[in-house]
Amino acid sequence: MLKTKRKLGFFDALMMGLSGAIGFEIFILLDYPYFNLELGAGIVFGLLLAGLVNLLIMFNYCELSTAMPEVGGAYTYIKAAYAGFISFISGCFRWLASIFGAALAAVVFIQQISYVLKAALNLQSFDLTQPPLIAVIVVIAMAALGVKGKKGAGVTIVLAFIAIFAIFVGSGLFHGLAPIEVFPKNLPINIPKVFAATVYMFPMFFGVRSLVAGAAQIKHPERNIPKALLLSSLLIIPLYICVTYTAVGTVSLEEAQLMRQEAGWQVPLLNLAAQKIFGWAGGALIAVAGMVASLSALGTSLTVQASILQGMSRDAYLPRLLRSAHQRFGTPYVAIIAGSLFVMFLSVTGAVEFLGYGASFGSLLVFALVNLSLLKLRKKKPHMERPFKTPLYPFTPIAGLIVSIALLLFPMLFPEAAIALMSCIGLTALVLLAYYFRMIGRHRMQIAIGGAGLSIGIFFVLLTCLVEAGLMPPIFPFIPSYIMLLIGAISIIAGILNAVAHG
Amino acid sequence: MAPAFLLLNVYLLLGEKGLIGVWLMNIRGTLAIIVGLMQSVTAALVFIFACCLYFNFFGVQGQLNGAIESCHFHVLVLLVFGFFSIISGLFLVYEWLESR
Repeated sequence: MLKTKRKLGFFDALMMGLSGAIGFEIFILLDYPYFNLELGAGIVFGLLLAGLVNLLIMFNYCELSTAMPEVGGAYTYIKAAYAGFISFISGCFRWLASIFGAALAAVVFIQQISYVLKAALNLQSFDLTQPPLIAVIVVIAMAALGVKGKKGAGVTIVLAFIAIFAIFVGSGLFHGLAPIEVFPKNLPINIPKVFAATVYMFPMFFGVRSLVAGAAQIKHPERNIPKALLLSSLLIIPLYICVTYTAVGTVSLEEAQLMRQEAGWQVPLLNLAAQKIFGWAGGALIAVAGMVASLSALGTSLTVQASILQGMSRDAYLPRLLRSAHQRFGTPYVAIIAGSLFVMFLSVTGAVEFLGYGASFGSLLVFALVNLSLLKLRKKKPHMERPFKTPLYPFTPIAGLIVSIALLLFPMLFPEAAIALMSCIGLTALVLLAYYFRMIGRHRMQIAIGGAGLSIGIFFVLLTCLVEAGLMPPIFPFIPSYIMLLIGAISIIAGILNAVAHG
Repeated sequence: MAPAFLLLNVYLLLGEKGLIGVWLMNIRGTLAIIVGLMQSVTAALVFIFACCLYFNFFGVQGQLNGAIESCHFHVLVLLVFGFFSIISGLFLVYEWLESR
């Protein structure tokens, strides 16, 4: 078991929670519910719901993190409750959430740098068709820093952001901030939209759980962790609501759409509001803050996903190779590079809505499993020392579970969310397949694949012969017969070699 | 005595450490790396082709117009084949690396 010296006090723990929550998400996640779902000022209500759901789930985290103040967070709790397959699944979902989050951070960086170059510096010739290239460069740079083991300046960034947001909100009060209707119009009809917005904006809050991941370093965990976790979850709600209220109150939906039309690209809402309050300089300031936040989050996410891969490799779910440490820097370079490839692939898509929902779904599934773990551990280990007990047990974890699942299902009414959820289910299927392969062992797997390869090869050859004999129309008319025969022959030889492989 | 001697000679020749056995193992190793690499390359090409077909890079769909009625079906078949091929190829390459 990994033992870490406990040296962080309450303030450090609070900063750890806040630095996890205050990040790049607010720079981008307001756009989709505001513009696409056309909720307008109603997004403030969705934001409040997201914050309250997060607070509810954090009560359960408090009990588990004080009972098991160890490295690993959610993965450790789920492993203690269920072990085996479920903990493997939770690790995979947590990893997926980190990967989606990292890709989203790369996309935010591109958006914000585009704003600085295109709008603030008036470089209209900046080609916005190059973002995939920029995304790849940014991810490679951050992965290289991750391999070198560079640390971010968490507390400084948190304080700087709080200052920037305070200036933004304060100035907004004196620059045309109009009173807005916080509750969405036609609420019964718009409930699915509100829930979709809640899910989409949920990643803005759940970063506070990073405090739980660092629980092993916190002094007096039984006292400091619940206090810091709940306080940071509470503080973040008014902070984000104030910022969103100011942004929405400063630029109405119609005005924002007009400004976007004039700009000729999808300028983020926060930049538009800052631009209206302070002029180009304000927009640029928010853009620079967004760039810093996204780079910091990208670096952190790459490190977090690497530690998840390492943990799963330690538990023999994944190959040992992923635990390899760099000879000079001592960092898990293989895990960082492996994760970076996925992040690169996702970030070049530039599909903000897809990535936002993906990050949220991964985390919601983990939260559902954490709530289940709490219920299971209360029954399985009733005498376990629990310095903090979730209030109103069992209603709190059951409510957390139901809310997590409801938030997963409601957005299915919207195509972007449905695609993201389907992709997550597809990835889950791959994860299950990987688990199955891992459990049956490489040798048996090789024989099975050999058999399949042999069959495919024979099928290819037979198919080609039938087509050549004119007994059936070609299935792949664009592939010449001799290539089909060659591919079939290679498959047959490979199949035989795999099927008779030595154990 | 003679049959036992004969069997011993056969074992010495064909057994795992026998002359022919070692030779066969070497051949198997060489074959494994060649076929493994060929299959991996084929799988990579199949994946690239499937991507080109799906996203219509270089106007592939247009060039194959008429030939392809159901693009999605072809992409699916290519992906499944590529998936099996790459795993099979990498197993062989890994086996060769292990045997060194």
